[in-house]
Amino acid sequence: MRKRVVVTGIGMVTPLGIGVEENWRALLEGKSGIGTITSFDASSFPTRIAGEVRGLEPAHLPGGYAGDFDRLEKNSRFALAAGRMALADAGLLEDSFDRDRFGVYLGSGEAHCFFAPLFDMITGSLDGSAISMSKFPAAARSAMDPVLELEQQSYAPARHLARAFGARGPNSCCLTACAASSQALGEATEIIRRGDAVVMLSGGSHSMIYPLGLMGFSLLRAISTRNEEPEKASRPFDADRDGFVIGEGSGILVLEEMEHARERGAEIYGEIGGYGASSDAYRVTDVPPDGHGAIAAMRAALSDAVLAPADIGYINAHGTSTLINDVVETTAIKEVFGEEAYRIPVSSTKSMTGHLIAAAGAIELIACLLVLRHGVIPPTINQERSDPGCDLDYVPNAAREHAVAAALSNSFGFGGQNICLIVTGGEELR
Amino acid sequence: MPHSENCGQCLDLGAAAGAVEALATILGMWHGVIPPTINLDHPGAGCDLDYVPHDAREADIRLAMSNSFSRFGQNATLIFRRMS
Repeated sequence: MRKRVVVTGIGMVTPLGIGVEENWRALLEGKSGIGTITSFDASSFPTRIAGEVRGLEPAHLPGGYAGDFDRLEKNSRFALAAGRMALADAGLLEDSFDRDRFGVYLGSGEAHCFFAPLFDMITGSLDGSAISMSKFPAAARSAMDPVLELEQQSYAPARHLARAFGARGPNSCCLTACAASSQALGEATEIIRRGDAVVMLSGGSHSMIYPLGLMGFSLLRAISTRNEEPEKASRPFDADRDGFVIGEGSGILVLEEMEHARERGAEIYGEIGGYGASSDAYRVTDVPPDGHGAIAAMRAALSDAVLAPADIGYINAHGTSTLINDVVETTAIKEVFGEEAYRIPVSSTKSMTGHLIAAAGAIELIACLLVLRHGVIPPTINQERSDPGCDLDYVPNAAREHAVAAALSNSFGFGGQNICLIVTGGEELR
Repeated sequence: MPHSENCGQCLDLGAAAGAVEALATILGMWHGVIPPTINLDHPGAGCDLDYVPHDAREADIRLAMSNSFSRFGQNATLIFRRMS
């Protein structure tokens, strides 16, 4: 029989703050983490706003890493800080458990592309106006920094977590865009279920707030250009939405085999009850209008959790604030939940955090666990004018007290990957 | 136990290396032949196993293992069993 998997630690680094308390308070207050970009001069870009992480310091990193703060890419910094928080929260930072059965599975993606070394490589290779391949090796050798090269690899955060915390078990990454960290959490759950690890650090870490990342999303016409009102730009399900807003940060969870957690008397946030995955097998940045991929993933998660639609008390929507996602996700929820769809509160925390891309699903699953624990649902902010195609209860503008025993988190990636996770709480776990 | 290394012939394929090596392992079992490690002229110190040097070798293989170790610490090992 498969093992049961519970969450015993959580860590968050987001545009809303450093740490779970700060994030949860901001989420309940309906605070926006979106502002004008300050990490580089974006004043001539079509989109000049994003949700940037502020206040992360070397002291947030695990011992031994603080001195490397400036040499680490943001993806690594965020993951190390959130990973340390999650392990400390679980009481496992100093605990002597079996590190051979302790793994890492992260959602991650491409890192910041630094212009300075590229510029030096290109200018150092010029022969007239063309790049000379005979000059390139010498120019590249002096311009490239091997440490920086490694930091730009998408698996850098997973490698750092293994080393920082002695996680000698399975170590891997999901690179499935906006669904990556949810998929990583699902796969990490499977690793524990089948008995290959007893503790997994899982979630995601990502920043795409750099010139190429921002420009790429502008070319896809995926992001909001509401530059004059940054805090109102992320408005999932609202009639006046015009695209998502890029966020950055990390959400890391400690997943633990239930008996292992009970034996050491760990505090349990909830159980990873269900994991469902599907692919649209459709276009790259579009979703099929009937939402068949999203429907299949939600049904798969319900089936894995052995729950009926009526058992779900809260849905944390993918809710990106793009025209197409929000209406198709609404359609898909209605197809899966039928009449129950109108009874279940559905909110998008991306309205406050922005879209953390490969880290989005992890912070949203943490939000679901906090809903189970505290019985309060964070709102979808910026709900001003309703869209006829989006007619569910999106918990508009203000948090709401509501006891929830099972919550669903949706993550749908560019490229058609759909991942749904269900977390459950209740007396039985305590 | 014979060991061979396909990277000598096809170079390191990076992220696709393990898949190609798994196929080589399965084909070796299927055909009863072990592909060699080429260019093994002077085995290095510490490398004293049977690496099937230079030439392929016929062998009846029922179980085979394929190792993939990334430079960054992730290690994955697969074992294949012949079905007939």
